[in-house]
Amino acid sequence: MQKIPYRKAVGSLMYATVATRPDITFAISTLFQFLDNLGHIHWEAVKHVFRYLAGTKTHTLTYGNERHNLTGFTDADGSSQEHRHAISGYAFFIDRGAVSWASKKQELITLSTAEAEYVAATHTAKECIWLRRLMEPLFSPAPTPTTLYCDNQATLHLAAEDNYHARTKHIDIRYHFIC
Amino acid sequence: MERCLTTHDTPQHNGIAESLNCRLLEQVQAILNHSGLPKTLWAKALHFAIWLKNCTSTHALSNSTTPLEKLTGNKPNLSGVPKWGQTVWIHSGTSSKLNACGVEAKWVGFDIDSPHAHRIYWLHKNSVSMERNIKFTSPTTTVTFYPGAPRAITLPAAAPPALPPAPPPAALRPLTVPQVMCRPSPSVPRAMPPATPSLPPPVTALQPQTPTHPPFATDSREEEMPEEEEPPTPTPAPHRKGKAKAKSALPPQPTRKSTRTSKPSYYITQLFRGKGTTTGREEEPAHTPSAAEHQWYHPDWTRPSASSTFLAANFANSEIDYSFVAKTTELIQITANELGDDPKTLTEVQSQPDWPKWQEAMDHEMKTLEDAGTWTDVPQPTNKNVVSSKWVFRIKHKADGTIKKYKARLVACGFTQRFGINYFDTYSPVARLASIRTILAIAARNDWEINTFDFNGAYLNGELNDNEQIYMEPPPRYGNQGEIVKFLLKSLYGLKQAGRKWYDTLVHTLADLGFHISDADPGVFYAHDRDDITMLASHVDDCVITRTSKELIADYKQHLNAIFSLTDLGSHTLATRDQNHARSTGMHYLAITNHLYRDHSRSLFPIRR
Repeated sequence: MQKIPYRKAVGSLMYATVATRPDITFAISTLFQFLDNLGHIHWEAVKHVFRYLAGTKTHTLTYGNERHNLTGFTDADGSSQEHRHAISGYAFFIDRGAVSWASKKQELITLSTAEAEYVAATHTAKECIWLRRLMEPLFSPAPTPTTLYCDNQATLHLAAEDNYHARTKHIDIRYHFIC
Repeated sequence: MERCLTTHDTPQHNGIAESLNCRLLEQVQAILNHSGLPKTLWAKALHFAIWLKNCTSTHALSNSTTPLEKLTGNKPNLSGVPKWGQTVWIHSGTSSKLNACGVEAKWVGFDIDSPHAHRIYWLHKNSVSMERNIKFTSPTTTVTFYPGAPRAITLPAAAPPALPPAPPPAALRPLTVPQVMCRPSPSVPRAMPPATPSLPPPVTALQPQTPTHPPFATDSREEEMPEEEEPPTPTPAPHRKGKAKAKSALPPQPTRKSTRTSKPSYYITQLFRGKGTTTGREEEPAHTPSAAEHQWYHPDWTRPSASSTFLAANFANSEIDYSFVAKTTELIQITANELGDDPKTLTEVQSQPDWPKWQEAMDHEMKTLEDAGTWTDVPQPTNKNVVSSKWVFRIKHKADGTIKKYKARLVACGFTQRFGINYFDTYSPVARLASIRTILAIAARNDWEINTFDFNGAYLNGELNDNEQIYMEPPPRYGNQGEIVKFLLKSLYGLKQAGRKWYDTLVHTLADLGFHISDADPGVFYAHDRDDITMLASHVDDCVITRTSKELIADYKQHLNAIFSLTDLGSHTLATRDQNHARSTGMHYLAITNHLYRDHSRSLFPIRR
């Protein structure tokens, strides 16, 4: 097992992830949690990702195909992994071409999926602000407001009105950033 | 002594202390593991290691003097230093006449505070105490002096270690007089009778001289002191003469070496014969190999290829998962071929048949550096940190595996620089990939021209400040060490601040051309020119630039080329445009993909379905 080039393999996959492949981001971030004490199954999973890449190597990121402004999508999973941290993910698109994406284990244990999505939305908002700061001097007219899509109604309501609620009273100022 | 403070969490800045720490730790590891005593004795082992270090000559002191000699003026005598963790017999004063008068224990170093006592580890009590009445059971380690020293001393070992202890021959008797290890005092019997019959009689004469007590600083004496500790009475050792005779009378004995030839396992033998399966060991027929099969495989076998040498090295560790190794044999071989080509040192290069090619590459690099005005020759300064330098060799391959170029690069050993003297800031930002993609997306939307280029020898463009005085040893093979050194004017590869200096230079040059740094990403630059906008993202020495028209890009590149030298990579390296698609839909279409993982990583990590 020690002789498996696991680190090298997931390291090279990581490069593909940050460069042009948002679709394997979650897989790679999961594989990266087993660098130290890997099992046979993890190496099989690495090979599975390679096969997927080999099968989809003609897929490319395309820009300029449609006309849409900067849009963002945010999501979080249901804390189903063993460590019980939710994984938050986001992607930003310009003209339906992905420019910025991430899949990251949340730094805290959330008490509900709504809260997990809320935390993910906060991180997404931070990235959104950065992208707008980057594009402001580049686009001559001031860019229109950026739309952020989220698939959790509770989170949407929580972001819209910051009401105290029995199940959200513990959420502190850091994650009310998005309000 | 000068006290220097370094930044926190930067152990690399106190190199000497850290390396000493490392060496001591290695010694402690070796001592502990060899003795087989519990790891909790690490502190005792460390004390012994420090004591040994203080008694041996060091590079820092001239004329092979030892730190101990510098401190006390007496030369340490290391003849007959006991082996750490060796078995000793301690005289037990409390037993009755008829009981055994010795107790077995382990020797774990000299006492720090008194020169006569030894630290003794009691196996049954799991504790350490100071003892004086000690008898060493086995010969101590052979102490060989450096060439030029009078002789090598081998202390008598009357019988081979494997044999059961037997009374020594009569001829050897005078040489192996049992003697008490420590300084003899009149109140202590000089020679104790063996505690048990199994105690081997040849007991070595040991006499560490008085100044050998360790000069290390302090020790919290948590060990219990024995009550029978007597006041030290320094008397000359009357039996020393006999011991000297013992030393000179015996010829040095060669160290015993195993004559057993090591054989690889049957599985490995089969693999080298080409009969091994890649599915794993468990599918092997479970028969024991015949003698003939073993005979076939001898250590003197001829090695078929470099890759199988690599394989053999990997098989050398016995505790590995064979089925996995077999499965990934191909992977390992390919990886080894990818990585193992480049020579590491100058001597290695000089011994290779393609040395003229390397020589040419080195001459070329020296010429480039000298043309760039990287340094001036100055006489070696006194009291200045002189940074060393080395060559790095790399063979550049074409896509089909043939050799494209021999490349030699001179680098400064940046780890020998000192913070605050030779360098200050090292932070050097690069553009985020998200920024580059955003720029590409905007360029695609507006159908702007995209161009990529890189700077040749980018780091050599960085100028060093006046307060960063760096003296570098002349490059190996180009100049003699010690007389003339190079005073660096430009930031050479390998210097700590090289990346930072290049970034500063790039920022200044781009500012002169009218570029602003983006607030969001310091690796992104933009310039407004009436209605036009030019965007440039830099990743160390690779740049992507986009603007409304080709001519305007060419204009900027010409400006940049006048200052630095560029390699134009054209417009199609990073992204491809689908012209047909653009015509049919009226939309501008840009696709980026990663050639690296498409072509390269599949060859690195081939996947069998």
